Amino acid sequence: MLQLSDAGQGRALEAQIDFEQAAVAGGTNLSELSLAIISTGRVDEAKDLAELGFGPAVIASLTGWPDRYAKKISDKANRKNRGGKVRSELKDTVKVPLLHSALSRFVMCIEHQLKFWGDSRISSRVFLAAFRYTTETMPDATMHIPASGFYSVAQEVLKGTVRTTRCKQCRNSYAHISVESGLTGPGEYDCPFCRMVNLMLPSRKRSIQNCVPSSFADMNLRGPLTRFSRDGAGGQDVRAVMALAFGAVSKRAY
Amino acid sequence: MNPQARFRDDVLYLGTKYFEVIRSGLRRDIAQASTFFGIPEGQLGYVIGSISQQRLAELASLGMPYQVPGPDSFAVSGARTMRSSKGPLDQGLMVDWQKKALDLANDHWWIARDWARESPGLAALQFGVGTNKEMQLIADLPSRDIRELAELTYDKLIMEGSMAMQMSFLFADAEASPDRVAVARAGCLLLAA
Repeated sequence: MLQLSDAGQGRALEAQIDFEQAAVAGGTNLSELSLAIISTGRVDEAKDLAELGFGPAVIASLTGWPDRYAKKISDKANRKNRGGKVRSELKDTVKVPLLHSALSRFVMCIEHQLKFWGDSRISSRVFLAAFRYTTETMPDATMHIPASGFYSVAQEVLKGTVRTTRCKQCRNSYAHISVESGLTGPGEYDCPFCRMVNLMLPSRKRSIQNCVPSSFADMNLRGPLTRFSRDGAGGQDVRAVMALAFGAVSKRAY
Repeated sequence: MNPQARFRDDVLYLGTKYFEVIRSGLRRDIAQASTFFGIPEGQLGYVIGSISQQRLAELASLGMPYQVPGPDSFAVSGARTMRSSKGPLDQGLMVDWQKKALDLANDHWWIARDWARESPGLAALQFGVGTNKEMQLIADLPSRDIRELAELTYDKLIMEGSMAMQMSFLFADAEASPDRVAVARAGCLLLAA
C-alpha cells in the first residue's frame, strides 16, 4: 500500500481536487486522474516546468505523460516568462566551446543527476534539479538564458555531443568545462583557456602586433603581455591572462 | 518558505560561515589551514586571508564553495566504530578556527539532512554527494548521530577547484603587479560588456 507523509497526503489531496475540477471542466479520464494522485511529486515538477514557460510537448517529454494531460497543466500554469522556442539543434551555440561557466556547470549537473537517479532520459527531476542549482548559484550569469536553452543543452548532453572534460595542459583547473565532442576527441583536449593564452601571448612565430586581437587595442594590454612574455609570468599572472581569455571567448572577441 | 529561497539562504549562510572560518584559519597558520581546506596554491591562501568582511557574502553568493566527502564509507553503523578507533575528539586541543570548522560541519550535515528529505537530487548537487544510496543514508540519519558525523568530517572540508578559480579571478588584483591588474580587469570588462 502506498504510504504518504502528512505533507504528501496534503499535496495528494490538493492534486486530487485540482484534477477533479479539471476532469469536470475538460473531461480528464480516470487513468490520468489516478496518475496525478499517485505521483504528486511529478505533478509539482510538471507545474514548475509549465511555470518556466515550457509547452505541452516538452512537459510531456520530460514527465513521460500523455500530451493531452501535459497540455492541461501547461494551460493552467501561471507563467512568469516565455520559454522560447526549443531548438532541435544547437548549431552555433555548441560549436563555440561552452566556456560560459554557468552552462558548463549545468552540463556537469545534468551528468551528475543522470547518474544519481539512474535515468536513461532527461526526466523532469533531472532537468529541474540541474536547472535550479545552476540558476540559484549563478543568477547573474543565467538570467538571460531562456529555459528552452537549458533544455536544448540537456538534450545534447543525453546525445553525448556536450559533456564535461579535462584539459591536457591544466587538467586540474578546468574539469567542468564542456565542449562539443567533435572538438574534444576521446576525453582530453586543450581547453579554450589554454588555447586563448597560446593565441594571445607572443611567440617566436607570432609578434605582439598580430597575437593580440584588434578589439583589445583600446585596452592597452600590449605592454603587460609583452612584459609577461619577456620576464616570464607567475601563476597569478597566468590566471589574470586567463580571466582575459575567459572574457574574450565568451564574447567571441577572437 | 519558498524552497528555492530557502536553498539560496542555506547556501549563503554556509558559504559565508565557511569563508569566515577559512579566513581566520589562514591568518592564524597559513600552511596548516591551506592543507586543511585543500587550497590549491599557497599564494591564493594569502589572497583569501586578506578578504574583507564585506566581501564574504559576495564570495559565498557565487555558490557552495566547499565539498565534504560523502558518508558512504562510514555513515550509519560505521560512524561509531571509526570514532571509537580514533578515540574521543579532544576539543581542548583544537584552536579556535578548528572549533568553528567543526560547528560548520555540524550545520552542513543538519542542512544536508533537511534537503535530502525534501529534494534529494538538488541536495546531492549542493552537498557534493555522488550516489542516491549516500543521499538515502543522509536522509535517514538520526539526529543524535549528526554531531558525530560532523566530528568525522570537520577536517575534510575541501575547497572546490572551480570556486578557487573564480576567486582568483575576483582577487587577481589583491596583491598584484600593475600588469596583472590591467589584464584581469580587461577580462572583467569584456565579461561585463
